[in-house]
Amino acid sequence: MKASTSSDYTVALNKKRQLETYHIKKAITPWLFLLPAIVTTFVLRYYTIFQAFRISFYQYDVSNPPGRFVGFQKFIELFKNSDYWQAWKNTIVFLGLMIVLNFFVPIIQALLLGEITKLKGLFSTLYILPAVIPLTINIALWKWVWEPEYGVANYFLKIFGAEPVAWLSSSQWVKFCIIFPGIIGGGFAVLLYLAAILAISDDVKEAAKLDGCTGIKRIFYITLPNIKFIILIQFVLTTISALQLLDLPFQFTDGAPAGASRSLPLFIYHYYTRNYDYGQGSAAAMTLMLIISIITYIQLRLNNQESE
Amino acid sequence: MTKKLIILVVAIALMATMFVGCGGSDKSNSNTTANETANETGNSAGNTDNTVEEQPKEVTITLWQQAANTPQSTLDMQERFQKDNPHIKLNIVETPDTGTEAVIAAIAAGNAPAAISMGAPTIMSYIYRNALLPIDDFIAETPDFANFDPKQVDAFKVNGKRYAVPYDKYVMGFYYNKKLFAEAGITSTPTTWEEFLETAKKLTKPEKQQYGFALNAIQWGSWHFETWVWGAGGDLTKQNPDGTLELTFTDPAAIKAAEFYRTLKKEKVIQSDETKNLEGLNKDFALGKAAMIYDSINAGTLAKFVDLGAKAEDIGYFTFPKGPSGQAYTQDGANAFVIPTTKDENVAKAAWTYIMYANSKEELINTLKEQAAKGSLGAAILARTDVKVSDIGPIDEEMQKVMDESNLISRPEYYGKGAVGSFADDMVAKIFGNTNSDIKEVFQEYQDKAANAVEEFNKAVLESK
Amino acid sequence: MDRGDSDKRFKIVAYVLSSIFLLTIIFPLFYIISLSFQDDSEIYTYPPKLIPKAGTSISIVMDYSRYSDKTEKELEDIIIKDSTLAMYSTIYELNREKISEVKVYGISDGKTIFYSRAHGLMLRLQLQFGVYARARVSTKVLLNGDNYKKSAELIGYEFNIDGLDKSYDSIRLGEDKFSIPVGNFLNSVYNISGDYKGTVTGQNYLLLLENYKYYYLTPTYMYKNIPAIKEYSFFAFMFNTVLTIVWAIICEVVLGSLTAYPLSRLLSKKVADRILLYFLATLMIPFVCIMIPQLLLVKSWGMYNNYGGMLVTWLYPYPFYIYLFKGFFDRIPSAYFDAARIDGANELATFLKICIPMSKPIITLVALQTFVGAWGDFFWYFLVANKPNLWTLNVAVYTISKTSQVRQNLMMGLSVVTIMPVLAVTAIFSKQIKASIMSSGIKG
Repeated sequence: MKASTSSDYTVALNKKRQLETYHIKKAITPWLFLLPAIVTTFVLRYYTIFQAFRISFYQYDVSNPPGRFVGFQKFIELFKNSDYWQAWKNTIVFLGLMIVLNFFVPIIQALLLGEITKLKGLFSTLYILPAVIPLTINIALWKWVWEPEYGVANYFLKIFGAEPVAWLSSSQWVKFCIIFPGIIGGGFAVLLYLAAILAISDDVKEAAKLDGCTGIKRIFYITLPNIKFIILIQFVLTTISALQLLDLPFQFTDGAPAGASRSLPLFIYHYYTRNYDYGQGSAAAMTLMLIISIITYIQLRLNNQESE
Repeated sequence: MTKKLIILVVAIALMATMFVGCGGSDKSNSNTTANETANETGNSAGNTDNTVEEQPKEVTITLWQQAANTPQSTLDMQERFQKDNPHIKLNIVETPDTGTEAVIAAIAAGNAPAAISMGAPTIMSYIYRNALLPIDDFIAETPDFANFDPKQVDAFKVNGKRYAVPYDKYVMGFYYNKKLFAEAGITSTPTTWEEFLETAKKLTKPEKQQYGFALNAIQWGSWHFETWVWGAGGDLTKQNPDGTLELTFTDPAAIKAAEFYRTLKKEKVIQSDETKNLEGLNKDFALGKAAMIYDSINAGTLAKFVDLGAKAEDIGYFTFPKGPSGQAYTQDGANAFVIPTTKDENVAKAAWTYIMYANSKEELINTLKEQAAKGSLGAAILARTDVKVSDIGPIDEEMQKVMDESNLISRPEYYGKGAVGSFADDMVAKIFGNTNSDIKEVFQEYQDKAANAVEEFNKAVLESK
Repeated sequence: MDRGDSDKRFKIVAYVLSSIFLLTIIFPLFYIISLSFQDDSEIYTYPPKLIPKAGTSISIVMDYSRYSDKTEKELEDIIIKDSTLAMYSTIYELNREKISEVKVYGISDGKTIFYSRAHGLMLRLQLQFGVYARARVSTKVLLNGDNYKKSAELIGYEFNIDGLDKSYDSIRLGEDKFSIPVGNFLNSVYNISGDYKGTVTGQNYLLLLENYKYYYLTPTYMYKNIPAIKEYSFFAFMFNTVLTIVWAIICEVVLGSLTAYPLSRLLSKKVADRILLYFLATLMIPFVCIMIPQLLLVKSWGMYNNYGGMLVTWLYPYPFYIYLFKGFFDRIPSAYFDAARIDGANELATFLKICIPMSKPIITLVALQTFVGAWGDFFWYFLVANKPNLWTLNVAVYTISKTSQVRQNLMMGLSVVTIMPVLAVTAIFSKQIKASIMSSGIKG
């Protein structure tokens, strides 16, 4: 009201300036907030991936980097390399195993915990404890569990009268052996699901009960649909981490036997450190990234369609 | 309007960062070593402000060492070295777990050691990949080098250039556990492949988790495999008269050797855990779980087994048994010091100073004396001609005998291994790991895979002429 | 009634299955501890043992009456030599037995004049990394130079020519199964100076607990040239790990929330979505793709082999956390922010005073997730730091496990020592941890 009554020109101009600086400030502020993250993300991810992309076109020479430009030759060599395709096959099997063991199992564990009334606190505490065992220690232990001669795994098999298995030395079992220990590290995921399950409002549950929706039925018609979102997020993250699987096969078997546990990231790592062919390794890395992007895009797209 | 303007500004700022980033690190690729050295030079200069001004330029060299396994004599030597060469600072870091294999990756990342000791096969592959400096210029101005056996030095001569300062020559042979042999009632060591298989069968006792032979096929698989191929009367590669390389992976002898590997596996006389690498196999042998193992016959290897828990008095040696060709060969090689590629002359010079210091007559004697004090003085074919192990103390006669016999039938690794070794290694691991595959097909497949590497190798050979 | 029944049955199934899962989950923990109490002779046998055997204590008695003409100093030297020979030869020759303790009694005219006691692992430690590292066990080697004195000093002993208040069970002397073989090798192989009298053995579970003391000491022997580890053993690795984790949590929380705030509150949905995509897209870049360029980059900043290189990469905000923060901020009612703005607060103040205090649950969740991620992180530290004083626990355990002399029990013992503090903290704060996850607003 006051501003409108004032007819003084300079005052109006001042106001306008103030308003302008206010607008500029308002426009700049968000970017100031964003700047640190944008810059670090750019330097540590976009710039580095661009470098890797560049290297994939070179016959890399360590003493005189980056060496000779060879165009797409590294990609052509790569596609002719049977080890590369085997690594892809392995990665896909790893993905499947991780979805079953590291993605579905925690959901089931959380659903079961959701049903429990007594001892829920104790159970959930014990679930998260092993999650703090460091990766390397876990691997050192499980290597011993899978050891064909002295290990516990074969001991149990023999107790139940089954034939012993070579576990980490067997090309059929090695991938399972590498992924299985992940079950025990899933504690935090279980708690996330449990949080979502407990957050389902009592009204919904009561209504379901009145409608005769109990037991397994309730799980499928009430609980699961209500925690769909967190399941999807975990699914996408599991997929991404499965396709990027490197530490586990590296520490467990380093690709043995005969490349049966060599995931694509490990294949790339081997090309860096064993064959010293950075060009080829980077070329493989580019294809891996492309596939991850496509799969993630499809997953998110499907979800969007469903929710529309 | 303003909003768009700001987006534009931010975008430009980002682009600027990008270019600065690109430019900066492009340079860094080539200059890192120099920069780092310069920085550290500055630091150390500050510390030793008042010392002699006329000293050569200060320089820091990186060395790889396993802290847990470094002998005292090496630590003492390094202390003396620092005292005698105050301008060279030693930066000792832990060896990566992949050992000397990691050197090339380290060169690429700019953190390679200035000097390092490695085995012959690794050295050859590094020379092929331009990862080592030729040392002819250094040799020319080092009179002490006349005391090194020229034969051992020339084993590392490639296309007319020398690359390594050898420490000793090694010959391979078999180690066996005398106690397990006695328990199985075996009185003589095998002299043919058939006898070898029979012996291994007798030594395999699953109820005691004991097996006959620790067979290494998955780590540097072609390293041991070639010896069996030779015994079968062939080789993995061929050197043409003009020095070029030709692959003979599908040689009938190679197929025979591969079949023998599979027989050993089928008869279950080898380790049941196929993923066991050399380290695991060594441990098995040391703990008396494996009765025989193939390794270099010398004091260092024996010390390794003792270190892992074996009793030295239980260990015996025999030479490689004769193959279907009626002949037996074994492989020889050498351990030697090399200088990984560096652009900094001062680093290279300092590395050379260090290498010659570590391999001087006095230090070699000190090393041997420590070994003698630890009770592990054994046979060795030293590169230095002015030091004899027998001058230090009595040598294990049994070992000396088998070493001399093996020396007579020894030959260097297959030609061009430096270029095609990784393919052959993968190939051996594959036919061993997957017994359903057709041997000839797999060998052909890897021979094709290695074709590019052969081409590059031959180009380099012909160019050097 | 029917409904109640099916719910009840379902509940029982839930209990049973949960218990089975729990057993699978707890088993490794139990097995790690069990293995740390076993030794080579148990670990390398079949069937595997879940419950370890008790440790064997062996007392060796030697008589020095016939050296009465020697001076006190000379006699002490003779007995120390014998004691060194007896101890190391016993664990070396009886390596198929679980010898957890060796005691040496030196007697003269019926009096105990010398007593020394060593835990089995102490002796192994000396043979692997200590005074007798990489040495063969033989009289010549054990008595070489003054090594036997060094060893005796480390182990500790009592000597008094007038007698000590230490006694062994003289009635059972020589009755155990070790008495004869030990006598054989001491007399004929190792040539001791004293007169061998026999051994007394006993079994004791408490000796196994003492294992941990030597597991703790092992890194100080392995890395004796590195002051931090020599002084603090694995706590040096623990320090590095905690440092990286704390830094990681600070970075992820600060950068994540700072970035999410404008995306949620200040920018139009269209712009915000684009920016969010800029971040989320990097989720798809596998570490292995950028490993080498990132190493070169960090190295060019002078951050190789120092804390700089280990910490700098955490400045990249993990996009999923930005996403979590944004989702949480989106649900804070606008009224709070409008009120602050009317009061004339600038955006930073609004963010700090309104937004952050309300976001405790999500901050805790991100901190927890970062903790789990950073705790398991291995490869980058493995690449960027190869000086033992910079190792994190994961790198240290991995590298130690690759050292050839290291046995399974030592690995597991080190692991137990390492994880116990973390397990304790987790157990104590488990209520808070769970509460924060529950209230973080994660929805279906």
